[in-house]
Amino acid sequence: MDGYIRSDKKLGIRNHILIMSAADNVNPLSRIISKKIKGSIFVPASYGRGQLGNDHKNYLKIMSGIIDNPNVYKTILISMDGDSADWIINESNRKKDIHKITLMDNKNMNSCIKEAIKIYEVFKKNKKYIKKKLFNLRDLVLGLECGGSDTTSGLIANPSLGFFVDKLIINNGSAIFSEPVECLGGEESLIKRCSSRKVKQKITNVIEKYAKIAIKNGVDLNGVNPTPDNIRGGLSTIEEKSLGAISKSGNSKISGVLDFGERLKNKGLYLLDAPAAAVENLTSLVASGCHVIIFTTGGGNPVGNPIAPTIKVTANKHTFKKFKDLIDIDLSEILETLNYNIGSLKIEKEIINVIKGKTTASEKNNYLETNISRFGPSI
Amino acid sequence: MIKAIKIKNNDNVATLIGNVKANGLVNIFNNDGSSYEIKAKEKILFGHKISIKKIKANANIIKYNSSIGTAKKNIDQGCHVHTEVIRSHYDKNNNLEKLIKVSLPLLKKKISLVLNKYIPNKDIKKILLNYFLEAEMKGVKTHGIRRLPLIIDRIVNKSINLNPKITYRWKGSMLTVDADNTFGHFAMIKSIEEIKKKISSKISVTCSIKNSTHFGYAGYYSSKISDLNCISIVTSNGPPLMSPIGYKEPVVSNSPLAISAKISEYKYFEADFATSVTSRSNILNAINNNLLINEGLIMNKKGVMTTNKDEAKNGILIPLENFKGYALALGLELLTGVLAGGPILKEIKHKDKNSKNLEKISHFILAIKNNNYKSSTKFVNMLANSKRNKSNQNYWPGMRKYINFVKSKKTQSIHLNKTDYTNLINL
Repeated sequence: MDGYIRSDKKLGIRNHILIMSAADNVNPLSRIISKKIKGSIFVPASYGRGQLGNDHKNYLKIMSGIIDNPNVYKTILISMDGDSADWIINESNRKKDIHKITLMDNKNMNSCIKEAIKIYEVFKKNKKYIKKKLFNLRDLVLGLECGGSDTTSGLIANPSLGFFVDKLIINNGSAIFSEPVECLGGEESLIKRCSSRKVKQKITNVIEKYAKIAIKNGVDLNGVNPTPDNIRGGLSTIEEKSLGAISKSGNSKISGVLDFGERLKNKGLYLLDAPAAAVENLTSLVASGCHVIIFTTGGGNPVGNPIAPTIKVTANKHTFKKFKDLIDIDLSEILETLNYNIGSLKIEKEIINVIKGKTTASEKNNYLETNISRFGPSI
Repeated sequence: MIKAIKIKNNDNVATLIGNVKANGLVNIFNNDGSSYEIKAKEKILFGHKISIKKIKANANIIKYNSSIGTAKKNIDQGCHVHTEVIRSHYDKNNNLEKLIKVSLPLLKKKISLVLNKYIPNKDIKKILLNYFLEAEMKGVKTHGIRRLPLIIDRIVNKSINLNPKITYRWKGSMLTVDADNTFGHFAMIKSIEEIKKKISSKISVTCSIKNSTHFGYAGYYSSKISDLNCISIVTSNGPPLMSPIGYKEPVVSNSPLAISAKISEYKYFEADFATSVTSRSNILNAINNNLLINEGLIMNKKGVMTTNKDEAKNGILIPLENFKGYALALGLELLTGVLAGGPILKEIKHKDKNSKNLEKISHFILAIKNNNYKSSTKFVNMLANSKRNKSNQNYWPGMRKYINFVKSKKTQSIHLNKTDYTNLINL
């Protein structure tokens, strides 16, 4: 397996060239450019102007995090006034991999488009000079995501993924799971897996944080979980529901908690503080440095991420039939064999194929999206 | 045969992969593919759980090698394990704070121990003990034993007078009190006793108290006055802590305002709030326990809202609805400091940990005879019967305090914030 060496010495498994908007006011321009350049990846901005304080800081962290993702080779950053681009560039660890195009400084829109195409061609030509190195499992940062969960998720798909994560961590690889709000009720089992008091405290805090945000907005998560639907499906308590979601992270030691937008610096298994909704969560995982994301689903969730190939896994055979174009792995056979190791091996095989270059179902069908979480108001 | 999966070795329940009828056989699979048979005692559906061992009442139900709740009763092998027999750990209290249960006599003993150590005056001790016990029984954690360490600091710094000579002066139905820099709690209760002597011959009484110190929560006193068959208002000023957004320094205290009427035994209407969005005590508690500080509660010294813990520590509180709460607090300053002739606004010095400043704050009491006793009962009943969302209980000001009080009186125990209790013991 080939890994591509980046300017910050990290290894990537793809050589994406991004057409990124620095703020939403240039999304139409970037969209036109990306449509003219086959193979480029369009990363639209969600807002980017009028944001305040931490909300704005978070926005910049995620945008620069996407640029710094090891799967990204170069970024063409489109902006209207230059400032919004500079704010993002300042946060990046790979400033020299960014080419800034400013609408204000160009003659007109067309000259922007021409400049972007010219630069893209240069980048594309230079791809052949990228230095390569063998990519091992220990180099992998795997993102873990679940969505549209049903009984089969907590029973088959997530524990099978957990089985693989344990193997990955033993082999010195890294994994990031997120969605702290879905850990509510499972704190005890997570805390048992941390060695340091600091990490224990941080896990409790980050889970409490989302529960408090919910309460502040009039929703008592303990009160609404498990939902009547969950109860009919066999889930009895909020603890059981959470443990089903958490089981995708296996039993390995939890090394720490990443703040929203924080990049992964050390190896190990980490919990990332980010909202749970799939598109936002996938984007946060990518900004933290994931190469590949495994996305387990029960009832089906179609979406994937354009930067980190997103492997969709289900153990519900009806869902697999229905969303055949958008799901990569069917684990429903595990309902017969009841052997997680088989599920884990299937996941591992697919990950290796994807690292070697296989396109995922969501990539093939271009069902890809990014979006950045919003925490504050605009002014 | 119907299969069920036992996800981890220690689990005492397995999840069914198919529907089983009563007395049907179930093949329980360990996660490595090995299996054994048990008999289902009742009908169980796909995705639901079956007990694979006898589980005693109150024992943990284990799935994923973790407790998913406790058993409400004894559960035999082969039973359907679901909401009817599992109690979630979250059922007992929905509070995210770390609470510990302490018996009332023990708490009383612990508070007495601390008071005995620092305060010689028996009268003061008794009043403080009653105050702190009742505050905790009513669940007023921001103004309960959490405040004791601060009070002890001020005793040690000699910024509180332990042997005061409180003076009372009546002029018509107006009482003015000089508290001689003693405990606000003591000055308030003593003033109420003085009001009690005269109230029978009057329609209403106003009382201005100066040279006092922080008295705890205002509702405690307004309800004590409503025991005298009055509707009452209590407020106080304090050192500046609060300004509207954009101010670089605090201008006014987040003064409390309490309005009370008695309904029946232990039961009061008690509207009691400070004029800031949240209390400083809540902010400090969040900092000390490493909890999140929400936006919109506090500003930094530049007058900009902050969630940063370091900035929040010495931050400026934000008033309720900004200028409205600010105006209300200034109005209360008029009733307290201005009326009593004590220091006002910036003249009131902060009671920092090491400062020897005398606080010299002022309080204000208004007690109005309430001969329409029935009307206030009707008032609260109407509030209690207002329609609200199914999941939410009806509410009237003072209800939570009433429920907490009756509950802790009945059980003779109390749920205390763990940090607060540890701090009390360490005093």
